[in-house]
Amino acid sequence: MSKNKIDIKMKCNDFEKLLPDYIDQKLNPELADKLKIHLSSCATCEALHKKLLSAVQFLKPTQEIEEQPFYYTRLKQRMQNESNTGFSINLKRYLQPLAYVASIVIAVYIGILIGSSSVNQNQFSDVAEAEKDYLETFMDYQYINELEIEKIESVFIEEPEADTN
Amino acid sequence: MDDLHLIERISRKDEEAFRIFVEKYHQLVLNICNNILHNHDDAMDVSQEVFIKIYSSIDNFRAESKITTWIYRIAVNKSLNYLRSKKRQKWFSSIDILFENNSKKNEPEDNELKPGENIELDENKKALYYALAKLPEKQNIAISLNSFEDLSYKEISEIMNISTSEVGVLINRGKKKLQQLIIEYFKKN
Repeated sequence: MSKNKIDIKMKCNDFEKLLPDYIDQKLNPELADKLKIHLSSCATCEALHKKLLSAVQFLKPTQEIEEQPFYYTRLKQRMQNESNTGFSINLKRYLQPLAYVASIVIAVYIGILIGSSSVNQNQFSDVAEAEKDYLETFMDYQYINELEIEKIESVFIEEPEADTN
Repeated sequence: MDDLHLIERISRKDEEAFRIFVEKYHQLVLNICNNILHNHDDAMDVSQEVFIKIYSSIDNFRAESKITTWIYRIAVNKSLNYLRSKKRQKWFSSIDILFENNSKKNEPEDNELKPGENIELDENKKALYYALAKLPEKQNIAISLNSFEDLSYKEISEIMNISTSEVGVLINRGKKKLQQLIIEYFKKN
């Protein structure tokens, strides 16, 4: 049952793919017959075929737009308006991208400034001077401590090797 | 008064000559724009831009090609520019909607009906215009000029500055893609 459903769906998908060539009569007769058979048995595809045909029918020379009585007057009005405001429009056209670029540059510059001010050189040096001895002692202690830990670890690591030998 | 004489006078900024020129060609320009934009108001707007461009760059016209070919070229370019700017606006407005997800969300999409506009369009026409808008620009223009303006491959090749065989390829590929897009539209709606 489900397999049949899949088969029908597949056929519809194939039909949709081949439909443009079928309408343009570019398919070989055997394939065109297969599509014809599907078309007569599937109401959905038949409807789609009809819709496509009627949509494509609009691809034909269109009706001409009627002559516009005040076209020139309106055009002259627009030309006058543009010549009056033309400078400001052009200025806006060139200034707008410049403003965007400038704001990005300023934002990046501010970002860099904030980033560098968080590591204030003077303050850091004050702290370093005041607590230099403490830091050095702490680092030495840590180094000694690490040596001790290493020693203990190495004992544990070496033990099994001794056993194997 | 022939076209060359008119152009010569317009290049000397003769207002009367420009008026005659506009009266003579505004229907043609309006039709070209309307056949690419499929919207009368937009076509009116863009057609005026075409004449403003013609007036400002009349000195660039060389009598090597027909005046209508030159007009077509400008009208097609202006219409394409308009479509591009509309796409850009749509992109920006979609970003706006992301940030302001209240009022603008209810605005109709491009292919939906808007009050006072496209109401008379039936579903099939809408499907066609949807598909044309989704085509690559060159295919859209080649098909529109060939189908709606009834121009020959040779005329289209002169307007688009490509060979006639390229026009043929664009139209054939475009029409096949167009039909696939129409099918896609009907399946979606």
